[in-house]
Amino acid sequence: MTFNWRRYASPPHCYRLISRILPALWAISLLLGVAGLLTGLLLAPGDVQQGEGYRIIFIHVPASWMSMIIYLAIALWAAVGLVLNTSLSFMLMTALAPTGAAMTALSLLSGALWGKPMWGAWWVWDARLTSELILLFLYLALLALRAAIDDPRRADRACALFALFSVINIPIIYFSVRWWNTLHQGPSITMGQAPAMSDQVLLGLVLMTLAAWAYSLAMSFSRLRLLILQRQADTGWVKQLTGACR
Amino acid sequence: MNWQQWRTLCLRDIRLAMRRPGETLHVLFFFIMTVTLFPLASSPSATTLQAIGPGVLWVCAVLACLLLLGELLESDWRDGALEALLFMPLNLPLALSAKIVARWLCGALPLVIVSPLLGLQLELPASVLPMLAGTLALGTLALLFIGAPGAALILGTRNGGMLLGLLILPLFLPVLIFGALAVAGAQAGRSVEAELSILLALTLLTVFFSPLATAACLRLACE
Amino acid sequence: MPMFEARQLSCRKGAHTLFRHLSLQLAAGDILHVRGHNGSGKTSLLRILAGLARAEHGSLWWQGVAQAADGAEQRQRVGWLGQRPGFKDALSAAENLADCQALHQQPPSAGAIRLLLQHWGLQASAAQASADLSQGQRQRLSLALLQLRAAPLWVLDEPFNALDEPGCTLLWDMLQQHVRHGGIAILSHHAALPACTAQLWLGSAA
Repeated sequence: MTFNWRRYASPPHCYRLISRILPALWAISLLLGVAGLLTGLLLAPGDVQQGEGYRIIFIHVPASWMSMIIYLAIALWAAVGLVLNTSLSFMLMTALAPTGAAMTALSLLSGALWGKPMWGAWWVWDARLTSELILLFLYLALLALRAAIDDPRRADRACALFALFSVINIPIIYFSVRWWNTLHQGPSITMGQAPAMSDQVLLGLVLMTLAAWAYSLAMSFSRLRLLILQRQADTGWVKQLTGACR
Repeated sequence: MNWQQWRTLCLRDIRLAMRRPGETLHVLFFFIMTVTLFPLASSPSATTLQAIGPGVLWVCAVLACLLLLGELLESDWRDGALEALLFMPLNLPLALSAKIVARWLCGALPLVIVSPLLGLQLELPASVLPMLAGTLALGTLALLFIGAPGAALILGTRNGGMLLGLLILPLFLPVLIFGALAVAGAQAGRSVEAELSILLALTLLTVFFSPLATAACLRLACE
Repeated sequence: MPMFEARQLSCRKGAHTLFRHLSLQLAAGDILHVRGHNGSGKTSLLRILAGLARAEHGSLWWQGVAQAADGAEQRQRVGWLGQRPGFKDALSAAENLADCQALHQQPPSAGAIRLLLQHWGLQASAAQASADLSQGQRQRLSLALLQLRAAPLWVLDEPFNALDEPGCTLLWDMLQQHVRHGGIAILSHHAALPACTAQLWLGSAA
């Protein structure tokens, strides 16, 4: 028997599947988050050079990773949607974007909070920080583009095309910013953590990263559920569902 | 799609621009005016101007390109000429490249031509001016090509003009960085071969790939 | 075998379904008159048939061959007259026609253009910018552009708009000639057109 993946590409099936796993996903993200924060804030030892301030990496690093991974995921779903013409891919793409933007904003914010005690400035024109800012602009552009187009099908395709076009540009942008940075910045700033990372720090980071994954999935899936209902409002199964709720 | 069709499209847009020179002149004046604002907003001292000069000229050129892109497809979309293009026996990406090249010739080339004068105004040494005009010529071409998909995406959207900036300014960054670096490097007497090579590579890449993306976006706008 | 066929088309605007399971078959020589109230989806249907818009479901067939969903092949055989003029206002009628000729890879022929302009009664204003033409003259220019393009399938959205009586006669002659030569025409119009071979009512349930 072959696995029928298209079954899960149909909105009603997907809706039911998500509804089933969503509570578990929220619980996992909460548990991992609490465990990660406990490990990071209490168990992990203070850093020799950076004192207690370094602990913001338990937020900053996972948020930065997620911000990039989510943009890639958006581009991936955009490509799948454009090639296979599946409405669900576009909905996933749409559902991911706000979470990605939030993660990017969180990464920038935590970076600034970290930077103030570390470098004595809220903002430095570091290559990575600047690229992250550009990424935030791209997320905002994606959200603005969707908001500007009324027809949801057209908005889907427009956003998908923009996501693909911009994701190709991101490595070029990053490379340019790094080049510009090396020319303009005399002494380079090392952002890396202490070379020998203790086991507790590593554990905290891993837990927080997993928590960020679970949270992003849970958040996007919640949004996806609403999108499915919204887009399929005039179909029988949604009417049945909402009728049953009433 | 043959050369004849490409030339017809390009010449048609040039002819249209000649019939309504106002649009081209607006962008040119916009470029000159924004450059003029910088000394007024900072300081007229030669050292300041020399330090910010290349960047100022490049940023203003980027903004002018944004204006040019806003009108690249808009009027053709409004009067259905783009829709008509879809029914022609031609290759859409190539057809769009003809339009972009026409736009560059009519809209961006005037900026490139006046840029040495503005460079002098910003106290750039005369030896840098050819580099300034050269990189701007290449860079504006790349910018128009990079921005063309964005120009196609905003057709028929609310606040298209404002949206366009949000969409494509981040994508302009590499060209802006290497263009401005090349001018600043030449000003500092550094070898700028690397910057120029990258700028050229970026231009070639976008000239090749962006019409494909633009055609896909345009197809969407005409649905 | 029908020359042009649409199978099970459906189209939605937002959450509202315009039509569903719409099929039609047309043979060479047919003129299909699409009718319906405002907002019944006439223009949407014509845009789908012309290969401009994508149908939510369904497919187009030409001489028994299914057409790709992006409509690229379909558009190559369609002569389209939409709500927008499709020519440049800043150029004269003659220039617009000449450009169209070149873009269709036809040998440049001033004579053919002159004949067309004469036929549509535009010779007097051939040199002035198209923006100065009256609504009816603009419609005539659009039709002249359509005639320049040798397309087997014509999809015309409200072609009688703004035309005066002689203009309507000219359009009828043009349509008759087109279908006599084995072409197909699909057009929308609000009033009855007895000379059409087929009629399609949209949203008749409403």
